[in-house]
Amino acid sequence: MSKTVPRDENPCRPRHFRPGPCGPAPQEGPAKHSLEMSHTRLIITGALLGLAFLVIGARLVEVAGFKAGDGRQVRAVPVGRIEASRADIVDRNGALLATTLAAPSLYANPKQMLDPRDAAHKLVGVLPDLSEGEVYAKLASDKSFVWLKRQLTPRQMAAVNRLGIPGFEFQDEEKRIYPQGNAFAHVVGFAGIDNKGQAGIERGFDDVLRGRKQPLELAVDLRVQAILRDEIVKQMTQFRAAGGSGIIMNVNTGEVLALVSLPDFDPNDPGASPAGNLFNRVTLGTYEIGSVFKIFTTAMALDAHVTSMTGGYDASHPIQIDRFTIHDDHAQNRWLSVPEIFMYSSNIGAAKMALDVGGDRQREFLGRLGLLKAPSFELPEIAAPLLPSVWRPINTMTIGFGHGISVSPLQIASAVGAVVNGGRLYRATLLKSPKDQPATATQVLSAGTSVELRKLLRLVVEKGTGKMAEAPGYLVGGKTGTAEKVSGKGYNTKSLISSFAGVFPINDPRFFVMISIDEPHGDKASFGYATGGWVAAPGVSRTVSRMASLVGIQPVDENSPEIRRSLLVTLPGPAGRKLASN
Amino acid sequence: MILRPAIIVWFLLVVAVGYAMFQVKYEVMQQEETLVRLNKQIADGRDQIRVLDAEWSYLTQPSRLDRLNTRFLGLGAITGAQITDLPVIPERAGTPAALVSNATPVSVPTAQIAGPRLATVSTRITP
Repeated sequence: MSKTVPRDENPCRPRHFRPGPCGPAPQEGPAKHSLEMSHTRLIITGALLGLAFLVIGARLVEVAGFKAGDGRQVRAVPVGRIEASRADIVDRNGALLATTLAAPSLYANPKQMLDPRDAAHKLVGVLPDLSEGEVYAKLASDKSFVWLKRQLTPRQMAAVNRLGIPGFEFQDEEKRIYPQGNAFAHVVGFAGIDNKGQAGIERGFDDVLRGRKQPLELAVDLRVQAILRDEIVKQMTQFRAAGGSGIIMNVNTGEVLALVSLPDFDPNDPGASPAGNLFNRVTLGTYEIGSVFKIFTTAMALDAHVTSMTGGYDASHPIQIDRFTIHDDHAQNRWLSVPEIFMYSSNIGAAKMALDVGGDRQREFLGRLGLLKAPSFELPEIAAPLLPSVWRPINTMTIGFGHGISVSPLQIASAVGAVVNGGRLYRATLLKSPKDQPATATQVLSAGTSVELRKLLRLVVEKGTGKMAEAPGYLVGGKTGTAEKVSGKGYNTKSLISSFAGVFPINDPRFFVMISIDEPHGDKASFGYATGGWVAAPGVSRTVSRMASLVGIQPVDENSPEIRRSLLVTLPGPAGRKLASN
Repeated sequence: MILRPAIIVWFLLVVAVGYAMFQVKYEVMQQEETLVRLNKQIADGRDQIRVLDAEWSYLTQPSRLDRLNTRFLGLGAITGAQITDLPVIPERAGTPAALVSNATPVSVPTAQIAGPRLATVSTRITP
C-alpha cells in the first residue's frame, strides 16, 4: 500500500493542532474569512477618517480663504447716517426741529447702599430738583430697584458719576428734544415720555418717524417761521390781543412755509402751558373770517360771468332781510363797480353779487375750492368747516361777505392760492415737495378770472382798506377781513377777529401770507380801530419785506410802466354811473 | 528607537503650525478688542454729534440771534431798496489802475479812524 504520508505524521499530535503560519500561510475556512473581514474594516475606517480630514480641510480652506469674518460676533458700526429709534425732523433747509438724544435714567439698588442718608444728601446736591426726603426713603427701602430720576442730561450724568457712590446705576433711555422750543410747537407737536407722538407731525407721522432713519424733511422754513411768529407777537402785544395765527404758503406747490398759532407752548415741556395753548388755530380753529371771503364771492361772480370788472351793484342802502340788516363798514352810499365793492369791502355789494350767482352755484364753487369739507393735511389737528344746515338766500348773502360759514385759515390759504395762481388748487402740505416731481393740482377757475382777481387784490393794498400791508418793492396784494366773534346766539361787536390775507408778488404770485389777530383792542395809534387793515395788515407788510430776500424774491419798481399796465384796473370816474340803479 | 527624518520634519511642521495658529488667534482677539473699542468710540462720537447738532440748533434759534443782534450789532431788516440787479449799479470810470492813480491817498493814522472795531489788540505785553 503506497500511501502518501504527510509530513509530520505523528499519531500523538492533537487533532486540532496545526503549525503556525510562517509567511503567507495556506489559509482556508474560517480563519481566512475573519482576516478578510478585519482587513475590510480597516479600509472602511481608514476611508472614513480620511473623509473626515478631507471635510475639515475643505472647511478650513473655505473659512480661511473665502468666508473670512462670517459668523463673527464683532462687526464694525455701519457707516452713514446716525441712527436713533425715532427719526429727526428738519426744516426745508435741514435745520434741526426735533431730535432724539440718549438720556440716561438714574436708578439705585438700595441693597448696595452703604450710607443712604449721605448718598441722598450728596445726590440732591447735584440734582437739586429732587427732594432729599423722598430720595432717602427710596434708598433706605429694602427693594433692589428704585427709579430716582428719568432722562438726565449728559452733564447731570457726569455729576452723578463724579459722586462715586456705589449702588447708583444708569439705564439707557432716549429723550425727544425740540431745540427750537416754542417756534414750531404747533407744527412739530411733541412726543410723550414713551416716545409716542402726541400732537402735530410727531403724532401724524408717528409710524413713519419710528420706521425710518433719514430725517423727515418738512416744507417749513425756520427763518420764515421765526419772522411770522415775531410779527404776530408784535401785533398781539400792540393791540393787547388774546391770540393770533398766521400761515405762509407757496401758492405754486401748496407747501406751508410757516404756520404759527399763538399763544403756543414749549414742546419740551408741554405740561407747563395751559391746555388751551395746545390748540392749533390755523388748522383746528374755524372762524367766520369776514371780508376775506369776498375774494371767493368776486372770483365766483367773475368766473360765472354773472358780472364783469366794469359791472357793479347799488350799495346806497343797507339790505333788510328777515330780521337782519346788511350794511357797509366803509359805506360809500352809492352805486359801486365790482372793483370798488372789493376795495371798499362793501358787504351790500358782495351780498348782492352772491345772490346774483345763486346759492347752488355758490355752494358748488366753494366746494370746488375745498372750503366745504375738512382738508387733507399732515397734522392730526384738523377741523371740518361749520356750514349752514340749510342754504337759504340769507345764507348765500352772508356767506358772500364771510359770515355764517366757519373755515380754518389753512383752507383759506389753499383756496386763495388757487384764486391767484391761475386757478390751480394744490393740496396744502407740510412736507417738502421733491423738486423733480411737480405737485398735482386741479383747475378750479379760469386763468382769466385769476388775473382779474390779482388786479383787485392789488387795488385793495394800493387804494383800499389794506394800504398798511404795502411792502415797498414786493407788490403785495390782499384783502382785509374783520369779523365779529360769535358769542351765544349773536355776534359780539367788541370782540373781533381781524385778518389780512395777502399774496406777493401779485403780478406773479409766489407766496400767500395771512395773519389773524384774535380779540385785538384798538389803541391811540390806530385811532381806536381794531380792524384787519389796522391790526393784521402792518404785520403782513413787515413779514413780506423781511422774508422776501430769504425766499429769493427780487424787489421791483411798482411804478414801472409794465407793472402798472399789468395791474391796471379802470375805476369809473366820479362822473360815471353814480347812483345809477342796477 | 530611530527617529526617521520624515517624522522629524512632520513634528517640526506641527509645532510651527500650532504656534502660528495661536499667534494668529491672539492677534485676531486683539484686533477684535480694538474693533469693539473703536465701535464704542464711533457710537460715542455719534452721540456727541447728535448732542452738538441739537445744541447748534438751540443756539441758532432766530429769536436768540435777534436778541444778540439787538444787544451787540443793532442790524436792521433788509429792505427792498437795499437789493438791486448787478447791471443797475453804475460802473466806475476807468480801469482799476486808473482808479488807483486817481484815488486820494489816505493819510489818516489807523488809530484815529473812529467806529466800532471787532477787538482791541493790546501791544504791551505784561509779564
